Amino acid sequence: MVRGKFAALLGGVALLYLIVTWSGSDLLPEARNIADMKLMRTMAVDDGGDRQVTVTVSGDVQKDGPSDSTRPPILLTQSGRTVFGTCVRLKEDSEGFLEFGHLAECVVGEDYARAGIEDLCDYLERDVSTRLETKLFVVRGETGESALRGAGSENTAITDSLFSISQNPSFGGRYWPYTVREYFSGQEDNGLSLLPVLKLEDNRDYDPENPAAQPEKTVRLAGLALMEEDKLTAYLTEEESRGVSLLTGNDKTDPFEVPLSDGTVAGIQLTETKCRWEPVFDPEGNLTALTARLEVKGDLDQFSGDWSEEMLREMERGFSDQVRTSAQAALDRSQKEGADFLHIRRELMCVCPLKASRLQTNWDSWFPTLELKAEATGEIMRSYDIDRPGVSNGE
Amino acid sequence: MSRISVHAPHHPRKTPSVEGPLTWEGICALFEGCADFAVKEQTPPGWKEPIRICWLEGMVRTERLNDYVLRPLAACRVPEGVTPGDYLETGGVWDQAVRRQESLEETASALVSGSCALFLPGAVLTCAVETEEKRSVSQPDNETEVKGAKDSFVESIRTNTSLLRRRLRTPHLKIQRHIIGRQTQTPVELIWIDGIADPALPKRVAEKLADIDEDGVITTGELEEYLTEPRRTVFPRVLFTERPDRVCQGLLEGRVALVADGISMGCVLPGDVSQFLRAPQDRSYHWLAATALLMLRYLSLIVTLLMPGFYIAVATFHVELIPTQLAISIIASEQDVPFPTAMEVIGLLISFEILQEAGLRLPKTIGQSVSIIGGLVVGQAAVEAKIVSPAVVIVVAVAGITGFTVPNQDFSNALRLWRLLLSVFASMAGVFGLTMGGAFLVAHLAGLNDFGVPYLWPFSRAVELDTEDGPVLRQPLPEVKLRPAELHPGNRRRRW
Repeated sequence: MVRGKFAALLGGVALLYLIVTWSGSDLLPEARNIADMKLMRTMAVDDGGDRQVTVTVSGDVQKDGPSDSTRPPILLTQSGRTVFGTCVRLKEDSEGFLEFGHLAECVVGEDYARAGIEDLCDYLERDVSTRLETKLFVVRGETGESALRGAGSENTAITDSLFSISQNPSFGGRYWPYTVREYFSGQEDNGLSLLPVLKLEDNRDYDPENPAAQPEKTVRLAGLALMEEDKLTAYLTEEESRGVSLLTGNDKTDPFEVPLSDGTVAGIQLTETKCRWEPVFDPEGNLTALTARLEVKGDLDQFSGDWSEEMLREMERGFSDQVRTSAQAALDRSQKEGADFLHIRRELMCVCPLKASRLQTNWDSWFPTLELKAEATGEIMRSYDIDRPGVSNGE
Repeated sequence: MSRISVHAPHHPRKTPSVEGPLTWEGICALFEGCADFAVKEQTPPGWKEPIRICWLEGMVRTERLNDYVLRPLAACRVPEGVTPGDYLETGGVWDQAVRRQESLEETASALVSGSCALFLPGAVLTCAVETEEKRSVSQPDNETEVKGAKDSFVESIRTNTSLLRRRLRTPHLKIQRHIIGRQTQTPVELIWIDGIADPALPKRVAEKLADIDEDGVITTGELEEYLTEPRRTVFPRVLFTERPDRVCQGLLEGRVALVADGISMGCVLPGDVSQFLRAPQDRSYHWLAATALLMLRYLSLIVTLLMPGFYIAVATFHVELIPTQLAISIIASEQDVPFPTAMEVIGLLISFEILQEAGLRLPKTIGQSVSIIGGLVVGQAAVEAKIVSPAVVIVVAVAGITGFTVPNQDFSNALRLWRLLLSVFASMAGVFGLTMGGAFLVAHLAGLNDFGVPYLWPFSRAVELDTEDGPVLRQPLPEVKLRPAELHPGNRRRRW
């Protein structure tokens, strides 16, 4: 009886608390009508000069109720001292409620990236609504705002283009290795991270007489940018960027086109890549050389020459050479910049745990003089031409 | 019972309920004004005084009265040295249940049970000539099964016990009779298997039955509410079933059963949560199929209970939890709807309940029309008029449909009520409120305990899966060797 009364009292207090909190306590998240929400999908951050940042946000093309009609995407710009403060001001100034919880991409202008994106990183890390899965991009030679405005139209938003890019095989696919989470991971390890670079180009399909149909500009992936201590320091070429992908075990790269001795070109799609780091230590225990041994597998997707076993071997040699060249380019650039953006030290500490402390201590002195070498073994696993022997048919 | 007596004026049960000497005038006075009270005088050959006979029309079978009582009396010649009462009691009338009555109360009770009373010089006898008009054993309406038995309980208590006896042909099956109800005098029989049920359990149930001091027991709920405590829970603690095989299953687990005259259901107690989520056919199906269905039922339980609340919480407080494409669709569907999401969901939940209730109360054919008009026509019109959004209609419909997978109607009703409550919690504080409501629900269920058996016991300890039937996994029957320990069975082993 007493227990029942106590339970009822407890329930009453809990209910009262909930009713009180409903009527305006700050302890709980504020209720919002979902119909009034506008989901922001892409954010651009630029250097606004005079210690200001300019934040531009873009939504998706909005469906107008259950019908098929649409409304153009929201595009808003505001400047302020901090990214957070500017976002709050954007919310205050807009109709409805801007929701940043579904921010999929964040684009930073080159000037802002060179000045340092620490402010943006802090915001993305600390704000309760933003996600660590947000993808980061650097716009080469332009501002983020110009990318958002240029690559969007009444019927398209830049988020669609960026989504396609992150799904395409060039630098991603199954998982996109350049999110805020990975960025922080690189910065935490040695202050070095890579971000994909966007280049703004004229859109060939743009029709000035019908500007709503297609955007004037289009964005294209153009390699990777090296971020050192949150500041943009260099751009990697596309060859080097592909090497980075291969060395970091990402098997979704551009297709390989291997010229052959008979004048034809074989099209090979990479399906699997494994990188094994082989360090060489001198008798005193100093690291003197390092070999990145890549084992890559691919599918032959196009070949119009005469098939033979020798031709297959030639394809595999050409495939291996291209992989090795890209990987070597990435290694050389890493050494040239004096920046271990491949996080080789972390890999070696896992490979040789007994030498982890020495690697940790001496890496900075060893790395510039290391003999870095890439080796690649390519294998073509299958093709889908059943008339040609020598290659397994997907069995 | 003591709790009631504190708040209500004390009315002790009058014993005997009918006072006065056992005389012809007494019985006539007692039934004065009863149109169905019939009397007859008959003087057998050689008798100086007539025999006075009375009965209640409709309660007796006329042929029996004529053939087994009146006809023998017409030819009755009492030998010398034997009193008429002794002669008729020992074979003078052709009835196996002739009883000599000593009190007015017993005689009146026999009359309302379908006997006729014979007032002889120096003795009063009653003969059981009750009618056996009753519904025949038919298929269960609500607990149909493809592979199982097709019989169900009827309103006659003796038929019901016979249905159990035919399945449990053991002399250890004990049936104890209790009469409940000051006015209804309803026979209620307590059934258990001696040696399997905890010996204390039938005693405690019998005590509870003896404590029932009520005018009448007419519905199942009247039994349940007197047998279980606390009463401030909407969750059922007694399994009511129309299937004799389910009652037998409960008896074999070590539970006890009750059958009451006039109620075409048996009840098994004590109940626990997993009992209400098991369907009759679970034991008929292959154990893997039954387990899959059982898991589906548990999943449906979670969906029906939490889905409306969760939708309110994420749509109102935590939009970032919704996958982006889904959020975009929801926002599009909520455009131009004038009500907040919480109000939409709760309003639609209540409408759904009203619709369901209306469908149940009406005749079957009209009920279907109500469902069609209410569900399809009004629902579609409400969406088109932008009173509710399609997303909310889907959420409420899914919650409603998944609720129908719960095999027990009482448990399903409890879930319906809690679904609404959790939606209110969620509308106040989002996922936090929902979590708090859920915790409150679990605490509430964990506090239920009937006859020493915790309501949540299937989840409160690690079930010995190699020897016991789990709450979610239906074990292969040859591996189920033990009865649940929480029932404290006299013999825990099901088999050797």
